[in-house]
Amino acid sequence: MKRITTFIAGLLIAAVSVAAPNATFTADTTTIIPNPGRGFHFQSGSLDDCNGIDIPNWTADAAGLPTPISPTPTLALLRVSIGSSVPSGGTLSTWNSCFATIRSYGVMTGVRFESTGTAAQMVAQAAAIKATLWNNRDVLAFVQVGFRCDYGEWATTCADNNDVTDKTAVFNAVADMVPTDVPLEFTQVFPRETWFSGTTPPTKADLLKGNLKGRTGFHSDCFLTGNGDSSFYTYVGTITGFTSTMTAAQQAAYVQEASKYVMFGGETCQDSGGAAVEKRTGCNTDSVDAQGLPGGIENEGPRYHVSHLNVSYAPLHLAGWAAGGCLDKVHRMMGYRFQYDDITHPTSVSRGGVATFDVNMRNVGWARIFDQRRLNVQLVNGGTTINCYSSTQLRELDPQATSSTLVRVNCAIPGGTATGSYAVHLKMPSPFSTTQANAFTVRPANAAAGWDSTNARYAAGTNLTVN
Amino acid sequence: MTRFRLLRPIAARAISGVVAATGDVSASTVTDPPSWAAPAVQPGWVYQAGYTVGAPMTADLGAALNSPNPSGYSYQVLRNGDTVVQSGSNVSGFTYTPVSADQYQQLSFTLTASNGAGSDTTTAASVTIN
Repeated sequence: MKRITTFIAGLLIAAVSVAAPNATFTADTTTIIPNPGRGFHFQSGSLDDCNGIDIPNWTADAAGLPTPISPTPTLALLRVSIGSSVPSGGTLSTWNSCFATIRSYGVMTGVRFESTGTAAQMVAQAAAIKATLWNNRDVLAFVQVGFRCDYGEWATTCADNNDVTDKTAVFNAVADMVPTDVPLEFTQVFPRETWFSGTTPPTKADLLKGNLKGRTGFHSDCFLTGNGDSSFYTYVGTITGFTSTMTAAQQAAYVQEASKYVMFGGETCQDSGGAAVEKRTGCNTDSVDAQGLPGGIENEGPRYHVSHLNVSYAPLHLAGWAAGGCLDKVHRMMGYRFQYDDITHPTSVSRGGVATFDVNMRNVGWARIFDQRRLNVQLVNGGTTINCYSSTQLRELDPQATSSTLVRVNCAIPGGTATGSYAVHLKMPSPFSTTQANAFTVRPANAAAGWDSTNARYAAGTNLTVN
Repeated sequence: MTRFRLLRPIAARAISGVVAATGDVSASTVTDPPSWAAPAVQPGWVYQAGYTVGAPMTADLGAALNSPNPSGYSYQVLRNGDTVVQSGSNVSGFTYTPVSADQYQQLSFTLTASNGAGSDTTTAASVTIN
């Protein structure tokens, strides 16, 4: 009996034996990497006035802030005033040119349109803008729902378009306007109960399926201010016609869970309302948040999975973070931060065969990446490069990870490939052919020695022989 | 009789599960249902330079844990998460060809892996159809 079980166990060990990694990688826990679509954003200029975005001077602008920021952020938020009329063809052409300029500088942007129209006019405006956004979604990091009320911020004091029907019509029109792979950010929590049928936060399945609930994130306009973040979190009752059954604490708990899967960004706030709107400007020694949990950016940044914040507002907060010694951490950890842990692959493969590359990696940043980016294995031999991609998308990796996720790349080697030794490289390029410039490629948080800045890829330090 | 009881559950299934450090086979490994938990490889649409109407897309079924039946997968292709546009069962793979109604929409799929002990379902990330 013992002989039989030993025999079977031996077969099983052979079947499941896991090869040792060909290489392991060292994490970089200190470097601030201005990767695309994350971190501090500049909020100046407009699609109408592309020069006003001031991209060539961003480094000087960041250095000249009351609290200087370095390295230079690579993200913008553009507010675009559109009045009450449908944008003309000339206006759309101007915007299209501005997107091209943004692309040429290797940066990305969020957009918020601000309308003075009626609900019906806003619906018409959104329909007219749709094609322009689709044509430029390669550089769109997010779109804030906007349109309504002062600054497009949907304040409850907004006088027009203020009933549930109008608000819902505008929201749906904006959702239809925005490319379905670009995150939406919305300034209020309570309407979600109506729009998304209850108080259950979006799930990972919602994110991956791409439904509206899984696309709609948060634009907090007064993050870290007061116990309700200045009306971002509200109360139980009827609010401008919407039924709200959640307390501010319950809404904050909802956002904490939801923001694992949908984007959270915005700006802090310098409200002068006194103790009622106390500002949590420190790193981690502030009063509690809306849930009664420890306050401050080192607590609330990861708790609410912050992807981006305004670099210049509010100055009190940035000064507080600098004084508390956490400004670099905020700069480093907002959004995603990928690191490679190890790679396992065969050492040789025949032409026409398939080599499997198993890469263990993780996202240690505060938030998820939201585009449809994949892991790219590049096999390089002189002037020959073989490109292979994972079926897994990097947005599937959960943020704040403490363990690896296995990402597999099955690489078919073409029959006509030249034989020889191919160096293995790892790359995280943009999913769009129009943004393959290095600036749009994600750099991993790994030891700098492996980083090939010329080709924006990471050298695994291993080789695959093609026979 | 004892030998029969020990051998039959093990030999009856293809096993790729966990082996204890001592080399002893854990009895639970042969009765576990498939799982998409880590370190499983998640399914997804095979990479294409672009996903367009009329161009077939191929599903990569990933690698579930605990020996799923190789032809025991069932799936649903979803448009924007809520409209089933294609489904199948007892398959070992599938493709889907986007139609005009899919343009500018998100196509994902759910995938259920089965074996004699049970099943597990996961969601593959959507891609945008141009």
